[in-house]
Amino acid sequence: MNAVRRFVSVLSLDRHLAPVLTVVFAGVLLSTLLAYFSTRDTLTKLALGQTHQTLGFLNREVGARVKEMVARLSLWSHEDVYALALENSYLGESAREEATRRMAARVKDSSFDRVFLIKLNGEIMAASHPDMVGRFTVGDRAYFQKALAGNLSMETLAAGRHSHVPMLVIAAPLHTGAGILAGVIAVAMETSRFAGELPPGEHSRETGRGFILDKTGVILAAPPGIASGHSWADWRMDEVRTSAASGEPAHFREGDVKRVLMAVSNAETEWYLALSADEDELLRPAARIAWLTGGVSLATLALVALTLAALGRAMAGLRQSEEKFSRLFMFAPDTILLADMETGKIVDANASFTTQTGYAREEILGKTSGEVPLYVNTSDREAFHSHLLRDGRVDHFECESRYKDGSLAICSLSGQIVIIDGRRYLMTMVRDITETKRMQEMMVQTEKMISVGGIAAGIAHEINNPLGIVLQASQNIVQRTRPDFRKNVEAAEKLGLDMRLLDQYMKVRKLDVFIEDIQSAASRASAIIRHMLDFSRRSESRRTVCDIRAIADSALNLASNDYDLKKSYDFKKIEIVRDYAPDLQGIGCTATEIEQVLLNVLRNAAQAMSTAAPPVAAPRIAVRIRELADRVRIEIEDNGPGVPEGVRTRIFEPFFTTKQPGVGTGLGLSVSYFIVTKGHGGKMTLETGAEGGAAFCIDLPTDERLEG
Amino acid sequence: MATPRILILDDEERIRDLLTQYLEDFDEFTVLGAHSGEQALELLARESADVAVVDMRLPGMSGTQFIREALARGSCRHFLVHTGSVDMVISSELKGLGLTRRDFFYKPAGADAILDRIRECLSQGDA
Repeated sequence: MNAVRRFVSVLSLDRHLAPVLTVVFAGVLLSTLLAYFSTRDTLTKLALGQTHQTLGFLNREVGARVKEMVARLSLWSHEDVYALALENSYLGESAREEATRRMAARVKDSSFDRVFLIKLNGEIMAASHPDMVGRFTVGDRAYFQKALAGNLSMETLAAGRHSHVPMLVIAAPLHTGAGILAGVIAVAMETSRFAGELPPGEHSRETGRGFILDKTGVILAAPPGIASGHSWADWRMDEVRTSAASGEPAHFREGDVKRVLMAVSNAETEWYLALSADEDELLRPAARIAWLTGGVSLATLALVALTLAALGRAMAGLRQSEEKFSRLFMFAPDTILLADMETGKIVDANASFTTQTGYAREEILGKTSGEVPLYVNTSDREAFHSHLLRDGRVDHFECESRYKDGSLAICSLSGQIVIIDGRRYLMTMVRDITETKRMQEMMVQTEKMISVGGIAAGIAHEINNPLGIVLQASQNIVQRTRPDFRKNVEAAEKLGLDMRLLDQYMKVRKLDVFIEDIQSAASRASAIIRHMLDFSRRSESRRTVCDIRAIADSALNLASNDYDLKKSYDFKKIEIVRDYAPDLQGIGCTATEIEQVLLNVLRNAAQAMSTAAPPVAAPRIAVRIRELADRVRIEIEDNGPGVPEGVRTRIFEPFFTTKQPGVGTGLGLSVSYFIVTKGHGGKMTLETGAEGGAAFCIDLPTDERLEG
Repeated sequence: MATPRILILDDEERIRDLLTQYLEDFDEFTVLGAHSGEQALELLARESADVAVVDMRLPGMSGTQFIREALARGSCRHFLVHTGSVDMVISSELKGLGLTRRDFFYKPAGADAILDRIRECLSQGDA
């Protein structure tokens, strides 16, 4: 199983494809094995069948010859001359001559070797070969005795008495004309003659051997080189008999060599005809073809495996690439939409789409961009599309969008026509640039303010002097029209003027109000100038290590004594919650500026709570100071009415104010923002407090370099 | 007992006059005016003042130079700065000469506030 897993991992196949391929692989392997074994089996059977057939032919041949000999002998035994030749008479003698001649003639060109006549006592009286006569007796031979009993008989001799080689002898009784048993006529044949008939058959070409054996294991006929005649005790008679009896091949080992043997039993002679060969050789063609079949299958399989491996690698590469791009698509920080060009329907959207617009992916799939109310102005959509169709792509097309929660945003659209699977799609990337735009605008404003500040610095002194005159002159007017001031009364008396009447007149004609207007206008003008100057201030040179807690306390103290604030609201009515981190490292900053920032925020909070409708029951401002990893955070949170959404985005904008004209310059928070971000490299944000009020967060970096 | 002597040092006549006239109304002080540090030193050489209200930007010697000089000569006990300057930070030199934040008035500043501080300084001096 591990091997399979490793194999699969080498191929780096798909998890679902792997089992399928494994099954296919196993199947192919199995069928290869089956093909191999069945081919080998079939071919083996065929080879053995052929061998069997060869043996059959041999068997029939042997049988036919024997039968022929029997038939001939049977005919010959009825010829009177042979019986007569056995008589001890003159007639007998001449008959012997005739018989000898006849027998010699018959042996010639025949399939047997000798013919001879045997007297009742076993003595050979005449023979085709005269040297056999009188040399020995065959009275003890079984064939002779059987023939004497009146039957045609047959015997295989391990060694003939004359030739000393294995012989087949067929004998028949001879009768005189009167029907009296006269002797026996026998034909003998050297069994080795059959060797010529033995196949080196097709399958025993090299190591194959054909043998004819008698039932005791004497080799009757053998291929050249193997002497017939001697008994092969070590010969596989058991196998021979088994094979002959069953008709199946017998297998055995000869030394290291596996051999196969097939044998049949010849009915006429009771001989065994056997063919034996090296199993390998016999089965080699079968094995070869089987191997070929299996080899082809295995080669195919290997090819398939290699192809699969290549395919697997390609697929893995493709999958990796797909995953890479799909991740790129899904997790891109910008919204990416894919829409069908023909139908206009959105077919895919990434995760940023949902985070950005608030619409779930399912809500827009299958819809056109017109059906989802993303475009605030439909003309933008048309312009974008016509642009796209004209140029094939659109870069940074700015338009206003409306998100699901109704909020508006400025988006930058970039679109391109892409072809996927032969279909044209519109790929649109949407970037929310609202914040960037706002920041840009603010920076532009801030830059403007800095230059304004620069100019202001130059003229402030010149403006402040006349403003001082305006203020003090109006104060003098107030002082010199007071009816309770001795000097005024004295001067008036000299002129006959009633100071009380003048005072009444001033009030009736609202001169007192006008004077107050002059004073407050002068103060306002001066405040604006001062704030404008704040933009041009370069504070780095006055940086020192400060304890933010001390600065916060100082700002709170200033706020509670703030003259402007006192007019509209008593800061002392506000509950102040100080929540300072106990251990706080000093940070490099310009104390007066940070104090001003905190004062501005505190003022803002106090004013917001004082003008809130309904009034805030228990106004409270919490000042928290926390040390973070690389910065100190100051949070000023009130429990006032909070900042409306429309104001929130513009709150740090210069000259933006929600206060009555004359109450605020619209510069306080923007200057604060400027001081924190530009002057101190920090961050200033507006959050919503826990109780719905405003919470300003000021982060000042702790590693800000100290200069000067 | 002679009334306390107040010196108003400002190069702009209207400011000098307005402040002078405002303070004179109370009959508490003798108010002197000078348009430059040099003139003021001359004035004070004859008779020293108790409080001087000094503009910073002046023709000739600066306000700071005048304060240093006047202090050195012992011609005035107390100095208030009345400036149209936009530099809101008290220079270390003036701090070193004993001025505090409360002695600074940025134009346009209320004459009443200046009066309050003058009275405060005088009462301190008496104590």
